[in-house]
Amino acid sequence: MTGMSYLTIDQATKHYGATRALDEVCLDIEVGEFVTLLGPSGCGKSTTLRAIAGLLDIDRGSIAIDGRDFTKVPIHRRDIGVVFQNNALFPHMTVAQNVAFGLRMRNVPLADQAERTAGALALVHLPDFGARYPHQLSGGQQQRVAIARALVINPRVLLLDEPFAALDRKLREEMQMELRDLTRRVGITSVFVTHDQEEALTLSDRIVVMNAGHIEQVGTPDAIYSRPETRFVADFMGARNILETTIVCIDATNATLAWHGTTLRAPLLAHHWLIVDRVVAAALRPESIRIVQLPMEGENATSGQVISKIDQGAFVTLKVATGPHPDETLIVRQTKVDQARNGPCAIGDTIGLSWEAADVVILRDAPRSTARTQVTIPLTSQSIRAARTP
Amino acid sequence: MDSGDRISRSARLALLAPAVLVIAFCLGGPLALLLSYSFAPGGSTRADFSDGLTLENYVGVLGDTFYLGIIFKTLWLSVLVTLAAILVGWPLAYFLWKMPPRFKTLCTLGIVAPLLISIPVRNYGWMLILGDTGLINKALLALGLIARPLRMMFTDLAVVIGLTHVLMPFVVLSVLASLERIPGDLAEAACSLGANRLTAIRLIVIPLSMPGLLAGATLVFCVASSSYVTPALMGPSGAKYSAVLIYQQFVSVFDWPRGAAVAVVLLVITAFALILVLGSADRRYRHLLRSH
Amino acid sequence: MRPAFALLIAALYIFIFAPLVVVVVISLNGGTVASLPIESWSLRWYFKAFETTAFINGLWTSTWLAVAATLIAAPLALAAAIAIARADFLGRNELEAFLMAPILVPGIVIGIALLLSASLLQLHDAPVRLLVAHVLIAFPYCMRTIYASLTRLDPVLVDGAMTLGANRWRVFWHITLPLVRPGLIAGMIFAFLQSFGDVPISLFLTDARNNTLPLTIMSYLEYNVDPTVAAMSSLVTLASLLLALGLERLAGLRRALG
Repeated sequence: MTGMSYLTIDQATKHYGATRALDEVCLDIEVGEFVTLLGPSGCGKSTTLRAIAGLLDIDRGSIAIDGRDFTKVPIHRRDIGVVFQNNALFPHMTVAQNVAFGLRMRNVPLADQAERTAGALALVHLPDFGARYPHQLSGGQQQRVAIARALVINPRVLLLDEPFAALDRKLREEMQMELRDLTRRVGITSVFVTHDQEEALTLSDRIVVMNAGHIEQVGTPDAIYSRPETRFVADFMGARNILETTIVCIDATNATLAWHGTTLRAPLLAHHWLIVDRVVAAALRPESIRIVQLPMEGENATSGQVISKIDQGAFVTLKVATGPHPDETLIVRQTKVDQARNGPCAIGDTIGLSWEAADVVILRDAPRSTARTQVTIPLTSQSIRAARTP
Repeated sequence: MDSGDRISRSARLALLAPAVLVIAFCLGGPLALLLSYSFAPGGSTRADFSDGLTLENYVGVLGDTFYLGIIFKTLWLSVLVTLAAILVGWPLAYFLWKMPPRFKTLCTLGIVAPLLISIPVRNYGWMLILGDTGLINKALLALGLIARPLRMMFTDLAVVIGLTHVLMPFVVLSVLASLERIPGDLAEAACSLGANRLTAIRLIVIPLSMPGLLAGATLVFCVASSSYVTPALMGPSGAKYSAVLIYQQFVSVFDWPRGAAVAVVLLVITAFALILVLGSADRRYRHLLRSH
Repeated sequence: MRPAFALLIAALYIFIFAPLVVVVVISLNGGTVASLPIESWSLRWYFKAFETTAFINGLWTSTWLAVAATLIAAPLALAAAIAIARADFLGRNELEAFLMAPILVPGIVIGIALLLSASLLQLHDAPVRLLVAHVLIAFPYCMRTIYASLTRLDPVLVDGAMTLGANRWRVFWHITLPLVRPGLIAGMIFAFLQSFGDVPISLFLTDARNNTLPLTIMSYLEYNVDPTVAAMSSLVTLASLLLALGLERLAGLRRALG
């Protein structure tokens, strides 16, 4: 952790009765970063966002922005822009009045209000909409007005609480692009909340995966996607094959794992702490598994019988039974193109499967307990811990 | 703060204080005073507690056939009014329920708007219709169906008609609310299973409208039993009804402690009925109009 | 709709409107007796009504009482409704019942209770007694519609305004009040009508110089037979129905009535 971050959340805890909505959450966000809080409902992402906004008080911990402690500062003095899921536009005011509201609260002179409002509306591509009322606008337009309203006050941080959840897919993708453009151009620090992995992967500089009030993993989209650290993150991000493996042996850079007669070889990462003969979970993405010619030998390969096949437009998803045990199933996903190349598989066929060692990700059951979460750093031989047995 | 409405506790107290104080002093206090008066020796407009509290008023009221007669008669009449209000109100509620939205507002307005007209005005209309020289008698005489006018005004019948007319909208509103909560396809499901429309109404709609019916009926009963205006205007002379009795005790007989006791008895009966029937019913129904 | 049912409904609507229509018809009777048949059509009784001092005084008293009571009750109700709507604290439901008590207690009981209190406090000033009573009448009706409006107000609007820099007062002024205004006005109209039309409470508190219109009409009914009272009643009916229409437009009658 280097220097002081722009937005720091330290040990934030929030209880609702017996439920712990936030459990000693720590997070550092840099200036200009676009960070997404990602997780299922109830994971604490919205709670975190609302805590930053001051819309709720945390029981313990602190929130600081630009070095200043904001924990006790009331909502209306935080200078934070919030875009809500249902946009929260004031129905009895015009679009222009909505956007200018924050300026009005700051007693900005009328002429400046008009100018800045016009600027903000232009920024969201709605220059002539000032005189309309919210109910006359479409869902996407309303959200743009909400964004303009939040940005026009030059807030320290922009918070967005699942702002596109109510929009249809195409519109959502357009708005995501626009938002990213906008925040980059303005250079504003943004915290975005969503439960949609794709949205998080598209938009973010960093993703914070949350579960049951704590942070599971923080990292770049690539790290979260390709190198999930915990079972929860792997599962949430779509690595549907989570294999219970036994550690056979460990060397400097890799671990060899056994799974129901199949041998897997997985790279070791800095945070791994492994002991031989222990059971450990390993994740394997369905897209990473290739269908190959039989017979199959060696590690990171197996064979099995196709027991189900689902056509999903661009993909085909197969369920392959590699052994008699119900756990011994692998989910394989192929693009239609690859299917065509390899020849289609029918239910009942026996096929060979193979994957790269780099695609096998060893998981922990629980997130790391270190107070400060960091970006996962790449593996180097110096980072191997002494406790590993050869 | 993160309370749902962002009001601090002290702010909430400050907001509530004026209203609570007004109601406590202007209603709570007087009601307490009324209660105390009922325990004072009767016979005058003063409450003389020099000899302590006494139950003589209650004994006098509850032990005297005259008073008991009035109270029971009032209750009995209220039951009749309630039944009549149900007979008139339920079909109207059903009618509104089935109305397409375009006309629904207008038809509802027609039933409900008269609630906002002062009661003497509404009763006056009935006096013009039921009186000896009123609409009905004039018509019957003109048609030669009767030789002398029928006495309808200043009778118990007139009171029942008048009160039914005034209170029936409560049943309509209450039943309508219940009906609107019935899922739309229930009656259709019944019909597809072989029930004709009347059976569907009897077996499905009526039972499901019961909560609203009960709530509306209870309200009608409570208001009818404590009603003053209609019995005074349209009923027989003399104190034949509880509310009129109370009025007399205060304004002509000047036995205030006695009157207070009757009022307390009336209040207890009303509260009892309310709690008994509405104890299990939907909370929302409890806040319906007071009027008379 | 089946014809038998339609006939029943028509009969019931006639039952509802007959008394109201009859009064209006009688009021237009040129003759001197308040009954049928109509000898001639005339507006003379309307003119006579406005010349009858009792009616004019009654109209004046009822109107100023209703207006004053509503204007006093409305801010009290607004404050109380804001404190209670959407809140969840110990005793909240009981408090709500307490505040709505003037509706739940029979009018005649309230009337005599106030008479006793006024007598005890030596409060012989009829306008003051009446005003206190009418504020009690008006309050719950104001409170109910305001409360309904407030519960429909989306709390995210308050959140949004605060994140934009509005403190609680400014939120109230710019957001809550404008959005609650229809409910507020509807409540005030409703309260006005209830106060204007009250009988059992005012019955015990009036004196010779301060009599309300409904009470004046009542005593007129007991002693007079000419159509003047019909004219006055028709005016009251018309005014009430117009206000009811306004109420419907603003908040929906059904919602106002709970």
